[in-house]
Amino acid sequence: MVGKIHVLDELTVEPGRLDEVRRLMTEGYMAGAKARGMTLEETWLTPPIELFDQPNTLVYLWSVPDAAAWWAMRGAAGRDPGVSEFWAEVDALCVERQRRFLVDDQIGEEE
Amino acid sequence: MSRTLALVTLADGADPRRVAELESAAVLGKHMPGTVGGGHYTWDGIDDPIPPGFEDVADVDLVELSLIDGSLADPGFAGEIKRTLLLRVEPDAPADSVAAFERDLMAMPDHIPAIVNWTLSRVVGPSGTRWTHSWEQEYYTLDGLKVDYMMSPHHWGLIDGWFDPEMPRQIVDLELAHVYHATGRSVLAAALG
Repeated sequence: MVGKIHVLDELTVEPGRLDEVRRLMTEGYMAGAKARGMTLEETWLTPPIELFDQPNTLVYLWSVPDAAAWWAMRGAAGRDPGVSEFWAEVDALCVERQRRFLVDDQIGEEE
Repeated sequence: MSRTLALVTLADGADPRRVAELESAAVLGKHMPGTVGGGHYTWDGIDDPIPPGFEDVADVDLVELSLIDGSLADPGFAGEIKRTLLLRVEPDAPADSVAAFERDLMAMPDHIPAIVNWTLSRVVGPSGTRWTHSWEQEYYTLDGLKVDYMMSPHHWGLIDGWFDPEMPRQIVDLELAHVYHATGRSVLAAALG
């Protein structure tokens, strides 16, 4: 069985818009994510200083306890139209965005 | 080759005696608990699923399917679960994304052995239908669907990205018909025959 699942959000932000995206994430996403069972593990900035003439990437690492919790998170997001509206607002400030799911490398896919 | 499939929703307050008559008279799949968005029954391969005179029906969502691909791993499949997912790819989805989505779906049986027989079809009619694809599978057990299929990392970690409103690559509308019913025969054997 798959245990803890990490959710990795990488937001590559238009130059000069970092603070707006940070504020959106803090004020528009964090509480809802917590309510959907997501735990914020880490946040990073790369390159590690704001570049005003090139994009920076904000990285958010979340976790959920297992696959059942992943589906609970996914179901709650699907039932809340505000979630997709939120990401549309963020995407307007980004040149690229990715979300990836990660598991411990020792846990392979069942064959 | 095309075939038809219908999702049928009974009217509120449908007469139980007439419903019992319907269930005994028609070849149908009565949806099990956990079904979402698809009414009460699935009829496979029947052009006119409602017998004349039966009026206690609120909706018949009939679709015409054109097979993209499928596999009949067990032609003698004798049960027990047939599952249908009707979905709508957004009309503005890029063609290469739609092709990748279809390839990803058709790779699922390689990663989830509980899927016995399967088909992926395009919905080609009637005009005005809201659906674009039908993704159908047959399983030997209900756990094959509810555990092996739903909890597979291939499902939630890869496939669902096409459906997830939080993912940039989402192309599938959130409203789905995810229905399943017990069966004692292979519906898909006929579709792939």
